[in-house]
Amino acid sequence: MPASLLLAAIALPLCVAPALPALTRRFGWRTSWLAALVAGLSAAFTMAAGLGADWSYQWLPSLGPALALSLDGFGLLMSALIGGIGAAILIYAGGYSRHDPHLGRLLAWLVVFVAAMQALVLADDLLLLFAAWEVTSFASFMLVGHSTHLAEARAAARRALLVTAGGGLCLLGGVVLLADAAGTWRLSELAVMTDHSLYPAIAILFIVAAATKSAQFPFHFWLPGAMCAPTPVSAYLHSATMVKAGIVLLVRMQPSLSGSAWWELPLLIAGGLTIVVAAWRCAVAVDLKALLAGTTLIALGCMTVLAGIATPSAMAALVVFLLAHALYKAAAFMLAGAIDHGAGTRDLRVLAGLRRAMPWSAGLAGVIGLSLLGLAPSASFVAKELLLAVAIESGPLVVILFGLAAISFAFAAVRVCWAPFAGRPSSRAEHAHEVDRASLIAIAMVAIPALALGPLLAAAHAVLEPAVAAAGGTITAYQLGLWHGVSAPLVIGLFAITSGLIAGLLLHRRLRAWLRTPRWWDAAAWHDALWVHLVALAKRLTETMAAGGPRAAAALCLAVTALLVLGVIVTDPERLPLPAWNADASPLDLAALALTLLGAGGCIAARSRMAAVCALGAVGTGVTLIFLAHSAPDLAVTQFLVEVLTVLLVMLAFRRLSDGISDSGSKLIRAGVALSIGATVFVLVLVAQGTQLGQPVGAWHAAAAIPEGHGRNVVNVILVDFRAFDTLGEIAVLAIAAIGAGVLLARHRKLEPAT
Amino acid sequence: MNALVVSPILLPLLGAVLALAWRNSPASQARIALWTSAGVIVIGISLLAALGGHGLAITQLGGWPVPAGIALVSDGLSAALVTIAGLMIFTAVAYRRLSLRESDPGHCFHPLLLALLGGVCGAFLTADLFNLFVWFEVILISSFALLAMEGRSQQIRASVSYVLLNLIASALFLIGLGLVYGKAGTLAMADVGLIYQQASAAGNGGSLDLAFALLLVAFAIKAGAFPLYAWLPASYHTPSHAVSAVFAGLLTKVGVYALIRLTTQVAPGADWIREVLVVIGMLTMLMGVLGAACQSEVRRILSYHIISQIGYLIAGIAIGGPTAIAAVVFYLIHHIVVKTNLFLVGGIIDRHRGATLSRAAGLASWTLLTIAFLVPALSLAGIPPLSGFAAKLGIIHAAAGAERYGIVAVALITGLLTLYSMIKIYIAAFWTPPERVVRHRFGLIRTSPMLGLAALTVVMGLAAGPVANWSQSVGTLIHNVDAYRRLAQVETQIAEPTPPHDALVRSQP
Amino acid sequence: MMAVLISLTAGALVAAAAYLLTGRRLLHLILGAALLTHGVNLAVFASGSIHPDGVPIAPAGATSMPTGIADPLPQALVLTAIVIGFGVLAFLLALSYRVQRSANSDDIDIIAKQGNHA
Repeated sequence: MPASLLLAAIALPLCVAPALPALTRRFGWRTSWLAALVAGLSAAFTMAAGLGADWSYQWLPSLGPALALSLDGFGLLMSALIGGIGAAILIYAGGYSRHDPHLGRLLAWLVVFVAAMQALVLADDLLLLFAAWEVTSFASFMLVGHSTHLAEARAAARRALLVTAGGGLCLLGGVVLLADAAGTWRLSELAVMTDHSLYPAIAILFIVAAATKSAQFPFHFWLPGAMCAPTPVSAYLHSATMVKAGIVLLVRMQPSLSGSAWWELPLLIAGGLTIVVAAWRCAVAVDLKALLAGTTLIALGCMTVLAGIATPSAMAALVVFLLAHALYKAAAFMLAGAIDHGAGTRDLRVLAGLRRAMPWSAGLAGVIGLSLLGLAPSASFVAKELLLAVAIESGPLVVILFGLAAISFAFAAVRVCWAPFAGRPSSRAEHAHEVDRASLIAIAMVAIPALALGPLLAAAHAVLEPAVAAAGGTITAYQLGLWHGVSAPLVIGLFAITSGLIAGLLLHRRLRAWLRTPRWWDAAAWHDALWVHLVALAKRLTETMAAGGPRAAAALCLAVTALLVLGVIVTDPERLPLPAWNADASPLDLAALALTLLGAGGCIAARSRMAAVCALGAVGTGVTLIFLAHSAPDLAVTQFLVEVLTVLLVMLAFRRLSDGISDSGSKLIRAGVALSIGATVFVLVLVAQGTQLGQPVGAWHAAAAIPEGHGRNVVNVILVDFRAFDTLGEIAVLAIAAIGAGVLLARHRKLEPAT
Repeated sequence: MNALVVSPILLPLLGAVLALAWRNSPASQARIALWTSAGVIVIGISLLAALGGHGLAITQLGGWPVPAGIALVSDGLSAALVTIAGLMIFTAVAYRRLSLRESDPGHCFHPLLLALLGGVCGAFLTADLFNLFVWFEVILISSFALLAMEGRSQQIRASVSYVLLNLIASALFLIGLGLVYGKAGTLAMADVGLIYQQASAAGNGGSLDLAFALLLVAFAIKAGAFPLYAWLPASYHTPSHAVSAVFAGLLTKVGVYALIRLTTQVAPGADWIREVLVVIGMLTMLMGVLGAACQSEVRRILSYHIISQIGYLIAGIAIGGPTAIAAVVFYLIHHIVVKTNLFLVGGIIDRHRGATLSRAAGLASWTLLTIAFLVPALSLAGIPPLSGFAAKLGIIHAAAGAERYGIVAVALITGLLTLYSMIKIYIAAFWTPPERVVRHRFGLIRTSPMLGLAALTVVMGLAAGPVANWSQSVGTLIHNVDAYRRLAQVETQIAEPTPPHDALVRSQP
Repeated sequence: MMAVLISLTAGALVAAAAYLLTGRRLLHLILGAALLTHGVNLAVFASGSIHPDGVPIAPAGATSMPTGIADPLPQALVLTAIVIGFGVLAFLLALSYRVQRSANSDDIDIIAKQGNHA
């Protein structure tokens, strides 16, 4: 039962999703409640399944990977967040996107996303983890590009997909190498891999994958771009869940990949640079969602740094911070959407005085603001204390980074939750209106827990402990409490909040002016330019390959053949058993050979159509004579007939052309290629006549022709009996050629020649 | 069951003759083509069911013992490819009638298509090298005719490259055959392999290596491998939509199939071939996918993707061993279905919006077509849980297991660039708003050929386990040269006349 | 001696064919294809046993094949190849006739370029 509950947590949303567009056409925005119910149920299922539940299905038994799910504390926490926040956001989507004609599609992909995220956090198999990862990337692509009529949305969707899918491929590489190195696909069976010879490659691949998904430097640019998605999408994917997938991956790889410089340094650098770059972005942001996206980047940067440090206390801080951040950031984004709807703009420079027009939103903004600031009693206060404690253990650099993060959060809290509502109402505020009830309920569903959870965390230690433990951390109830006396983290935190408040209230205009981003500093543009250059390079390569047209391609094929044969001979000269010379050439032979060679030369040298055709005829006659001189009368007869027909047909086909067939161009190269392939064939035919390795089956044919085939002419018997199937194919070729030629010539009569 | 083995060749050829006889009625011709290809599917499935992964079925044509006569041998791979080939022709015929609703395609269209099917099945089933050459020629000449059939000047001119390179491939194949016979004295694939093994063990197999070098180049040209693929992008975007879908699905795969047989059966243990193929495979993947990245027409993009996928297959063949060949078998089947499907959808885009992507737009309102595009496109890019994911995983896993990390890296990069191209088509053709709104609908019946193949892709992805198990046993069987030879000898009913050793004269001491 | 000479001829024919196939004129392509067929057929023919008087036909009434005949199998293969080669060449001729008409040129470079950009 618990096993099937786990499966149901994924299967239920997957099964309901395809029906949502049709249901939305029928029931309108109310379908969002159904979708929310599904998301909530999926979380309820995992909770009901209980810790330790597992389920597996041998998907690819020949390779080893299975569809394996198992529920540990961390998975349970994540699953609850995914389902719970998902439910709130789906309700919000029904209100926010009520008039969107494609609401059904939006809901469907959001629900698919819930399923994929559940699979990601419940997966006990590397490959299933990867599969879920890819599905989240693709679902995110569909959601970011939801407003397909906007070129900007299409570009952002493409960018997001290319970055996250590129990371996904790194993950695939890492997963395959890891499974190969560890000898298992099961996450729960992974040993510590740091001593394996492939470890550095595996670690880097996993880190790149996590960095792309969690938008870490230098892949941070896709996340702010993805803000052109509808706000429910931003709130869910790009703050609360999808971007956490990278963090989940890093957590899941504890302890098998962590605990070495290959793991710690890249993560510290990526996370640290992300915090700095994103703090800058926050300071200059004029768009509400862009500002929030910046703080999301910072939060993810902090988590990445924590995952790099990977001590038990760091992992504990990570888990608590992840929980708090998911809640308040989803709420903040939904609030931003509400402001956007109510006031008609997200521009921070014009938003002011909305508190009268949007009183409920203002109240919720206060609740969210406390969390964002990181003030007691919010959960984020506890998280921040833990974070700063880890930072103090880890050294001044991390303290500075986390301090900068706390300042930015406080700055954002002022700009998002205070400034739009305070002050004199702007012209915008006069036309503003409160948003619908569904949206408000949805915001409250996550904003209030984010605040109220703070005092409860210590009491909920028993619930949180397994999650922290599963992530490789340890935590005590005391650490989860709100008050630990006047400690260093508290002082640093208060200092950071004060700085952030000052910056947000007094300095924000000046900051924007001081920190004006230089034009070249746009990673998204760099990314686009990278692709443009790659495509340009591809174009050059492709055009070079095709430049010479069919003639060059033919020459290339022949040259490759000659080179390959030469290479085979050179690597092992023993491969050349040449036949002995014996002088048995008759005058007829010599005449035939001379005629053939002369004809071949004539074909090349001929300067008129007539001469060329005569030369071709000479070759045919010469070959006929060679057959005749070497006991092959059937061949001689056939060859002669065919030759006569060929010459006639060539004359017919080319009768309309001007007589001259002068040739021009790169004769030297052509001659070189021709000589090399000619020499190759010469050598090969010589080799063919050397020592035999097996007895020729032709002897059997000769012996069996009369008793078994009842014919005196062995060649005939072979053709009509022993190998009659070849003859069937041969007839087919002739018939098809006749049909094809007939079609070509018949069409010609009907169609005018094109220009 | 042994009689079944020959029927996938004879039935389509017979169908072609019948269709020619009804040349004044395009509807009857289409019906004949549908029934014939359905027959091939049924035969293929019954073969597949009877053989499973381990079984072999043999027909000695005319009852003559191998290697004196020609034998047709069907293992799981042959049976599966015959089934898929029949399915592709069936789909193409249905597509032309249901989806494109084209008028009379010319009275030779269906006969040529059936002849092509016969040739392809012949190539998949024969166990004799010269017979393989003959079927290659049947395929070649019918594809020449199909390519140039409509007589549009662009088609005819684009066929020059195709004709030229394939002529050279055939010539090289034939010279190689002569050399094989001259050295080994036999043309039966497994026999050649056995003689090569014995000779290699004795240290004088080298002269056969020269023959294999020619076969390698010939098959590589047919398969569209780097640097010999010039004929493919030059010609695949020109024929009629149904024809280019069939070409995309089947033609190059015959070359790949021949490469599989070459490395496993004809030249077992020739490691140098695999070393060459490793390099070729990686370069083919990269050049193909880069070629696609810079194209702006749907069918041209898709054509270059054929090349890059051939690179995956060649890389898999190069890795060698049962696991890698099993992955190749899986990939091959997946690829035929997916590539044909994409060309079918590409045909619709081309037909309704024009060839270049800048003109294609706003197809998202055709929901079913969107699904029919997205499923194969994502499968091609290797997105789980579609068939392409398991297929790509198999190759990458085999490469990692063989410590060929270069192949792993190139395969992953190629995967990203594949996704890039697919998304390019998707965004341009489906998301971009159209200049004028399309009113008419593209319903279930019109989309059904494409949806059918898409469903197959999904099923192959979900049921990857059984399919992979099957391909694993096929991969093991393919490497067992003795099995093919022993079977032929067991089936031999006629007492072999033992000729005196010096019955034939040789111009040598 | 003879073996070497025939090998040489086969090589020379293939070389001439290669030179013609990479030429610019359509007629050269056809001539090249024809010479290629000849060269290849000779090569296959020479791979078996070649013998001036070993015609693989038994005299009338014989109950078994005389010994010392030439290997009949390569002959059979070449015969098939000749016919197939002729079929292909005939089709090529029809095609080249059409190509000349539609392109108004017999220059392969020009034809291929038009085909690619039309």
